Parts: sequence; structure tokens; C-alpha cells
Amino acid sequence: MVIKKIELPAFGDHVFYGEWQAYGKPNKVTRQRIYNFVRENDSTFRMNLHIFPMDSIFKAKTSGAHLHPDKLKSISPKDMYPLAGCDVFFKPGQNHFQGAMKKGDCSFEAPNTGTPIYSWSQMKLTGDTFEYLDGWFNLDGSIYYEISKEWYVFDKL
Amino acid sequence: MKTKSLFFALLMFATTRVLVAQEPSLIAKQQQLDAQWDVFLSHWEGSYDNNRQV
Repeated sequence: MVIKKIELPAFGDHVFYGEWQAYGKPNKVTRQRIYNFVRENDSTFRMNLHIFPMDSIFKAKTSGAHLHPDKLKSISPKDMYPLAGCDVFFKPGQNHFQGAMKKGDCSFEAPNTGTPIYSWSQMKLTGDTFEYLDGWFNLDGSIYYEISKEWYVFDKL
Repeated sequence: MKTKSLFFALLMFATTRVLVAQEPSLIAKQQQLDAQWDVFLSHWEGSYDNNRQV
């Protein structure tokens, strides 16, 4: 995974591009994200995240944008998959920043079943690692689909 | 009237002294908070190894 700061004013003032590659296959891009960070106040930092559309042509045009940021110059939030309520709010801790979505806010209909559910992600950031844990939940809070029981940890190279 | 004016003059003087005394620590605190935001932003950028689960 690579995260690179880019200049993309259409998304905000503090914009980063994130690209995830398949294990052992750096040329196979599995996820693309744009993160815009907003300082809500002195103790709350908001991550406004954008998911790229599942369009192979769009993906081919924009992959590798951490090396060639010009690939993103014509995109805007309107091109992204809509994610209302899915912002992550971070609080500074002792040598780390702890973040989470507001529980229940990132709601949508589950693919295939159409069941109303919500996604809930938690994140932790230090100078050396990025960690996250997420899952999909029914509206009553029970687990709809547990993506992982354990935290995913990414070590900075 | 003179007593009242003197009272307000003293009050103004005391308030100013307190604010001036507090200013350096308030500035330092704000600088610390600004630095925390800068650290937060700087932590994101980089290349990461493939994930491991703990």
C-alpha cells in the first residue's frame, strides 16, 4: 500500500491518494482511495474518504497516480462512489491517533440481499504503522458480515 | 466618583497583567496543537508493507 500527498483542490486542502496492491503483485491494484483531512477542532481530525468507482477503464487511467499525480487532475468528488456518513474521526492519543466512524452513520444496502446495514471502521495511526478493523452490521448492531476479527496492521517501509 | 474610577482603573490594570502573563502559555499551547495536526498529516504519507493480522 502506498499513500501519497497530492494537490487536488476539488477534494480539499489536505488530500492524499492511497493505492493498495494484491499480495506479491504490486501491479495488481485492489483498492484506490482519496483521503481529505479536515481539522474539525484542536482535538478532532476528520478523514473524508472517497472510494473510486468500480470501472476498469477509470481504474486503468488512474492506477499509479502516486507516481504520476497528473492522472488525477481531472477527477472530482462527483466521480467517486458516494459515501455519505462514512467519515472517520481521529483523536490524538499518546504517540498515536485513534479513529472511528460514527456508529450507524455509514449505512447502505448490502450487495445482493438489499438488507439495510452499516459499515463501521476503526483505525489507528502511528509514525510506523497504520491499522484498521472493520465490519458490516445490521441496524440492530448485530454482525452482518465480519470482515476481520483481528486488526490489520500495515508497517511503514 | 473618584473611588469608582480608581476601582475600575485597578481592575483594568489587574486584568491586563493576568492576560499578559497568560499569553506565552496560550501561544505555546496553540503551537503544540498545531504541531499535533502537522504530525497527524505527516504520519499518513509513505509506502507500507503488506498487511499482517495481529
